[in-house]
Amino acid sequence: MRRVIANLAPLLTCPAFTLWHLLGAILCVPALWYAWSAEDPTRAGHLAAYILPLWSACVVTSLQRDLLLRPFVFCLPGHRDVPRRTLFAVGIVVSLVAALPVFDYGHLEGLGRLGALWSAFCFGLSAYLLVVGALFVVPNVAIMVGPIVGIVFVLVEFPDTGLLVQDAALFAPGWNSAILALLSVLAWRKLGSAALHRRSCGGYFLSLQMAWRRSAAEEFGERGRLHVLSKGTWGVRRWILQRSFERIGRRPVLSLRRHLAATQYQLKGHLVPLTPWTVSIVGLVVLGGVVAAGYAPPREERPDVPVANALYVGSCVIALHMLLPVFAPMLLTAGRRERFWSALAIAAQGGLAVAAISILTYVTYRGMWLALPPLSLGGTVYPFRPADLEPAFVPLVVMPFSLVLKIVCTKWLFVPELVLLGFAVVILVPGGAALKEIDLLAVAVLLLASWGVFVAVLGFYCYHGDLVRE
Amino acid sequence: MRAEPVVRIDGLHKQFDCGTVLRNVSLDIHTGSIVGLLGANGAGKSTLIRHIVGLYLPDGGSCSTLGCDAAKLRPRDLARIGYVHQEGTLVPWMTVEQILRYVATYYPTWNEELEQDYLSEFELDTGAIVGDLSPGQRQMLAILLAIGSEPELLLLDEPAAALDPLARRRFLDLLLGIIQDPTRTILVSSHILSDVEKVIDHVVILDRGEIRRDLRLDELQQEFVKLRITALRDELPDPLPLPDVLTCQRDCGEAIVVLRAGPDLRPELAAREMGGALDVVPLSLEEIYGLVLSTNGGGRRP
Repeated sequence: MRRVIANLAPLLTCPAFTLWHLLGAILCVPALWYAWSAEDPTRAGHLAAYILPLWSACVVTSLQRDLLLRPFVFCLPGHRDVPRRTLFAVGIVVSLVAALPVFDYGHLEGLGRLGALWSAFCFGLSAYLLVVGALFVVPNVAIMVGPIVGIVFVLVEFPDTGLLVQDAALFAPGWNSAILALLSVLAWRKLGSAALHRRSCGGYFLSLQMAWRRSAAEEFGERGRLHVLSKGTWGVRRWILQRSFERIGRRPVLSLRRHLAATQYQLKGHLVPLTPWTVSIVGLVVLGGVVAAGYAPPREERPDVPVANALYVGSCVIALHMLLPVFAPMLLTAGRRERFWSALAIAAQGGLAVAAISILTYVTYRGMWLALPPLSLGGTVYPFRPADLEPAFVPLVVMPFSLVLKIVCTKWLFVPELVLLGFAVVILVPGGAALKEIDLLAVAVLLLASWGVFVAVLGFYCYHGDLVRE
Repeated sequence: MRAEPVVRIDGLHKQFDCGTVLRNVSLDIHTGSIVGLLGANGAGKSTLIRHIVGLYLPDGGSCSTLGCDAAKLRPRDLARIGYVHQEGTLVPWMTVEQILRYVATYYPTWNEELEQDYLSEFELDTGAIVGDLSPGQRQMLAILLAIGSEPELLLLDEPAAALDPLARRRFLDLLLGIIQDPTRTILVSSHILSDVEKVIDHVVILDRGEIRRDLRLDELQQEFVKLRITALRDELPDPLPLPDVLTCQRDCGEAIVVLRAGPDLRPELAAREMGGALDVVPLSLEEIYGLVLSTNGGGRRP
């Protein structure tokens, strides 16, 4: 037991977990409360309680996998047995907690209540073990958290499907016991297998606690890109890079223009998609999002704000992904002046690109609005509502601040970036009505102020700061 | 009159959040010299080199490189500097060929013939992706990128740290080739003192941000003497009648003594009085480095 506790201790002692615990508390406490007070048998309220085992699965599995990555852990005597004992111990406790709300359901009585409790426990632990198994396969735990939690929300929100799942969770103790027994045997064997420990040691994996760390996240992304690069890239990328490289040669040697062209070439190598699959998948997701947001009915409390305005958040995300060549990896013939002007030029080009994307979003919506008919579903008619033009400037205000964060934040970049994105979402979605009232002068002042701050910070770092990022 | 130094550092002071990294460092590096910058991890070697290329700005004092304030180096000044940094960070998505062509676009003096020679010497595959190279190969590539423009000032920050013994041998051969050019100045920081000893002519020992020694290698070698005294008749006296003994190992009528060299030292005479035979054993740079730091580490000697 001491080993199990030692393997769980980093959850309390590692500062990187604090934010995950905070997010977990924000999700799990209301969810448990909701499940506890879910008396209405026509709603799948109990499913909300399963947020706890699923969230715990993410956090604890991430920690165990992170430990297994370390070669010294592989050599620890008797460690082979510890991860599975740790994972099962946590799983049993949180599944029991998630099952407890069943006790308070008035429509269940006597043995039926006990059977439902057991069934709910088995269902919760089975779901927990399934997520643990899935998280031992994926290389990045952080990107799995959203979808896993999202599934529960969807099930709670859509009573038809949700009730079906809830009935399976509460009223099929036999099936759930059998499934749990099967999964437990499988999980116990797999989690203790030498092959899993060998594969995990030094593997390609980004844990939750390391996901906040800029260098770890960048290194993880780079390894993924190298994996694709080593298989070969598509012709369009090669063509773009070739053209870009030829442009360098047309600029005078040692000139600022040559440095700028070379920097653009280097950045394009990072930004141009490696395969057509990336383009297709992103394109399909964006198209699906555009159409879905266009047909989505506006919230009752804000009927004049189209849901499609939220698509400008996409431009903000692109703005957050802009690269700034201030802390270049190699010492070349670029002095501080060249670094300042090339970074400024790259930022300006990025700003233009973001503006173009925002305008394209608006124009696309207008075109679709003219072409797409209203959608009729289940007797309800959903008219297509395009995005407004007014919020299009928001990504351009967000971008300089995200660039400032890239310069200033050396270790922890993602937390402030998430906060910034959160602000953007608040401005674009709940604040959408206020944006309709904003005049051009205010927009100009906001743009000038945000870009002014960026230029001041960039200038300070380029001329008066250290240009090596540790 | 001696020419203006290639690098002039005067009273340099640098502080980070973790503490002071460089304290009142003053150093001149002259044209044609090959300087070994020695020091433990965290001594401030990389920080000092980064000041020379202008990547760091001093909190106090000044640093000028090639006659220009290091913070204001222009492209034409930087084109005269080659720099290999400790981490060997390059552009991971490029192939070896792409990165060579990319870096070559920056330098008007890029020597393609030299590039080809070293490519085959280092056995680097031009089609390989930089991010996929082993640390040693990446370091080789970083060295090639730094010397391809035939820089006047070559700054090598732990260049051999990631290299295997064979690659280190090749690198030393390369360095020995480069130093034949008397107009080229090289500053090399390294932990592997046995390697740098063969190429440097000047030593700077840095300890916790302060310079302990800054002198020619032969001068440093004359600072200490290592003697083997073998008893010819009886046992050797204890203690040995020698001044400034720093270390002494005795074993079966034999003593190996390291002492500080001085005008009063007459080892032959002392050995004769003790009734012993005397051998002078050459000290390696590693031993001298250890003596400087461990004995009277404090106090700089010009």
